[in-house]
Amino acid sequence: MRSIIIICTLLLSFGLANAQAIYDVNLIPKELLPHASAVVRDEQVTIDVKDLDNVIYHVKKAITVLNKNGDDIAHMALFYDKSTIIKYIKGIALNEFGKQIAKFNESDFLDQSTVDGFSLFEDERVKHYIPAITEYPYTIVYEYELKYKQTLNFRNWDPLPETNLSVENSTFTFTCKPDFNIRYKETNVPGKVVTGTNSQGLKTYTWNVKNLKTIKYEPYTPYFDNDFISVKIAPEKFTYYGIPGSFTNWQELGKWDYDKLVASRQELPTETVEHVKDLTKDITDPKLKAKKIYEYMQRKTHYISVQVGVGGYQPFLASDVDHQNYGDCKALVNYTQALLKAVNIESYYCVVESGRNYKVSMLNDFASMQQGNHIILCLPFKNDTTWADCTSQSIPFGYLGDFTDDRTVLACTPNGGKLMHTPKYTAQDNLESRKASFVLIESGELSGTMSTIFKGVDYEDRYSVVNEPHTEQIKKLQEIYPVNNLNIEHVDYKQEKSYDPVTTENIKLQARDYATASDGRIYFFLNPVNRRTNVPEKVMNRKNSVYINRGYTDEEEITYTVPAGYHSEKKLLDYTIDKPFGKFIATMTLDGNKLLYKRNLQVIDGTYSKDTYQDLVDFYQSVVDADGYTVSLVKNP
Amino acid sequence: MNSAGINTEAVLLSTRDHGVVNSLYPATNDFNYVVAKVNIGDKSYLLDGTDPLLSFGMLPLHCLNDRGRVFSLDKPSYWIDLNLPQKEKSTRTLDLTLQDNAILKGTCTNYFFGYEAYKRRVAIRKFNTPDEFVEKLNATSQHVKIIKFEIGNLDSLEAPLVETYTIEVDIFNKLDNRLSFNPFFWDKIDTNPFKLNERSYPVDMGMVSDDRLMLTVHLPDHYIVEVPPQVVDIAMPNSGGRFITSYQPDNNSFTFAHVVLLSKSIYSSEEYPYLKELYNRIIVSEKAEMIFKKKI
Repeated sequence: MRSIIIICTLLLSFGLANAQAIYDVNLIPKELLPHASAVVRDEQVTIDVKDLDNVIYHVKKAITVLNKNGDDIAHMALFYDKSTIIKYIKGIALNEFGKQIAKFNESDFLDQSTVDGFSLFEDERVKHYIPAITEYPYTIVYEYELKYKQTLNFRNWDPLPETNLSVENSTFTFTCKPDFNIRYKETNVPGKVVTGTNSQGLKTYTWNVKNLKTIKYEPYTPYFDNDFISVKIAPEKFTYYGIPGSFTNWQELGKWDYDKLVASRQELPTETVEHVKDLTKDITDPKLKAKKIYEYMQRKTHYISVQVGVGGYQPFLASDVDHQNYGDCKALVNYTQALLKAVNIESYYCVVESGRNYKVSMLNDFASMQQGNHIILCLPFKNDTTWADCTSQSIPFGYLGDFTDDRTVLACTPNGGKLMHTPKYTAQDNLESRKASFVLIESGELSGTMSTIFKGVDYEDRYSVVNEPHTEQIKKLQEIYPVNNLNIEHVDYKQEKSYDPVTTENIKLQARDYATASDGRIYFFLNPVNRRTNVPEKVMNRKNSVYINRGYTDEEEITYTVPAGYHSEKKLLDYTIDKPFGKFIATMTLDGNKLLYKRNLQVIDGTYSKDTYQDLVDFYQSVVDADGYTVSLVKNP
Repeated sequence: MNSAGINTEAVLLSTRDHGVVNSLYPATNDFNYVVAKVNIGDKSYLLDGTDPLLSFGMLPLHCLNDRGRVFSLDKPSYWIDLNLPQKEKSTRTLDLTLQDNAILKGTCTNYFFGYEAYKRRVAIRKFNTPDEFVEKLNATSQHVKIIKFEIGNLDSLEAPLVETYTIEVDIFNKLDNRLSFNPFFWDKIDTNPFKLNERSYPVDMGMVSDDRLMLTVHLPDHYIVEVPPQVVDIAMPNSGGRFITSYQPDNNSFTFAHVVLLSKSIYSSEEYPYLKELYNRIIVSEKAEMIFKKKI
């Protein structure tokens, strides 16, 4: 009997030792190590919908940090606010052999406000914990539970969210009552969802991934690249801060948004309605009327950010904005919409995912609330749909710029939601066109005038310069233009706020020693101000297609008057390259003492095959080489 | 340190982005950082315990800011100057041979000393392995291919960091069909950091620096140097700094040296125009290309 107990005890302790040793670093599959700073050993994410206002989000995760660069990946941060409650957090730290070396719980976490220094008010807080371990590798095993009081939004599952991370095993389980229906959207998920019923009679949906290698960063990668794995979930019936609703498509979601969050927020004081009517009484064209009202709103209000509770989705009352003269994007769109309604102009409240680096569209086949982060206004004039962002005091009416252009948005209208697409700025539209006339003297000094126009999304290129005082403008331009000893004698800007706006920059400049003069020779850069120096990095065995987010056109025409009696000692620049994604032409002519330089670079946005990438690298290398062309003039004998 | 019998005091200081400490009256929030001052014999060393890549006695640049106040357990507090004797120094040696296919092939050896070695170690450690660091360097280099590499003394913080690369540089310029070579393919200074016409504050570089490039090129018999590099020698007043290049042709080979010495850690506003001009000359020199051609 005793021996049996001893054997059992031995087995038990052996089992425990084993349980810990499962996170021994040596057990990580070798193929997961290259380029990895950390490896997710095992992750179990569970969303359990107990009721429309009670959702439990449970995470259990073991992550091995291989070196210092992985510390950030193991850094735990839990966000919460009044409707998200942290039920518990606990965890242990293990050494490289998987033996426990430390233990932590909620009291070890730092509690901080997430105030971003940008928003006026927000109530979100974060608890975070950085393990104080300096011996690598180490493993953190932790577990936490959050409770949400709403069912409109669920967290996405994305098991491999960053580069330098690999994943051994990750499982996502969604559990709900039999009458709670969901829709889900999978992106690049390798396996199939497993659905079933658990012992409590609840519906379950389970996704799993195993042995995901690290993602290698590749420049010019599409937003939804091949490595991006995610599952998005949307409810059919839900409550959000006490407001019930249901949707299965964009039409219904837009209807709910409009009816429950916006429609009742648009009443204005009678004086304001009268004032707006009076303001536009002499204008008959509805678009010009709308422009007048938009400009009135711009002058009257300013933008602030407020992110709190239902306020994350619901605008302030139009009458409050009217009274207080400020609001966030929702409030200002709602207010502008109310002003337009006063003169019977129809407009739509539109949800958009804003961002400059990628144009992210609402998914056509999957409606869900968290796909947008910004609100803009659409004016559906007949054959002339016009768009406006209401958060800026200075941009022209009808101008979206690169923050919200060319993407699918959700218009919330009284008749329901509909997907619309914002206007695209083409490669031709995004123009930076420069003309300059310079005199270069034998001492090497360059002087002259230069005029540049900016159109399309480039209209805003000098945004940070235009409104600065003159001395600051000069300092900023010295940073922008790579001319040593640049002395700007004069600069002025004109901004034409039409439907197709243009910024014009006029500069009078001088730069001593622009050219190097020695032994009867003069050397100088042919391209004075717009030299490209960066080439996209070379990529071996590229996996992703090539995605160029935005096209553009650069034009330069520069005339130099050079000292008389010189000729070029090398071949004049004459270079052309033409590819499906871009064109580049750079030429020079030297006629007596007149040197004319012309450069035209056009890059066309779009998605190209992955084999195009090397062409793109070579293309930009050619541009860099041609931009680095040095004129070499020699005195005639 | 004290429990090990080594006399050590605490030094309160203000980091560079926190401004200079006011020495007229005491204010605790003037300070935002603390380092240790270890006294051994009549020498003392300043140590920052927060960064494992710093060698003994070296402080990070953000700490090198005017003065610090020393607090010891048994003496009244006093000021010390944070102008440390530490240096940043690098030397790049290139030994390249021109091949008939317009490729310069050979070795590039980088030596990093003092603070320069610390900075390089930080840059390398940003990657998981030295291989990944070199992979990135290779991917971002223009016209240069790294064939082989070796990095020495990565963990020996007291020794210079040594990187040896076997490289191939494509010097055929398809724009004018010439062979043009610029040895500053890595870390070229192409715009002057000093842009003002005049400056009212001193320029605090933190420490003195010494950067050298030593190039040897071997040419096959039937090639000559058509445009050699320019020779420059300019010095700042009061031995504040110097920029020298030299060119030594030989039979079928030449050597070129490019040396930038900044011998002061702080330059006054009066010295500013000279410093700016020194950079102007460095930029002109670093953008120049040497041209090789076949003998006719």
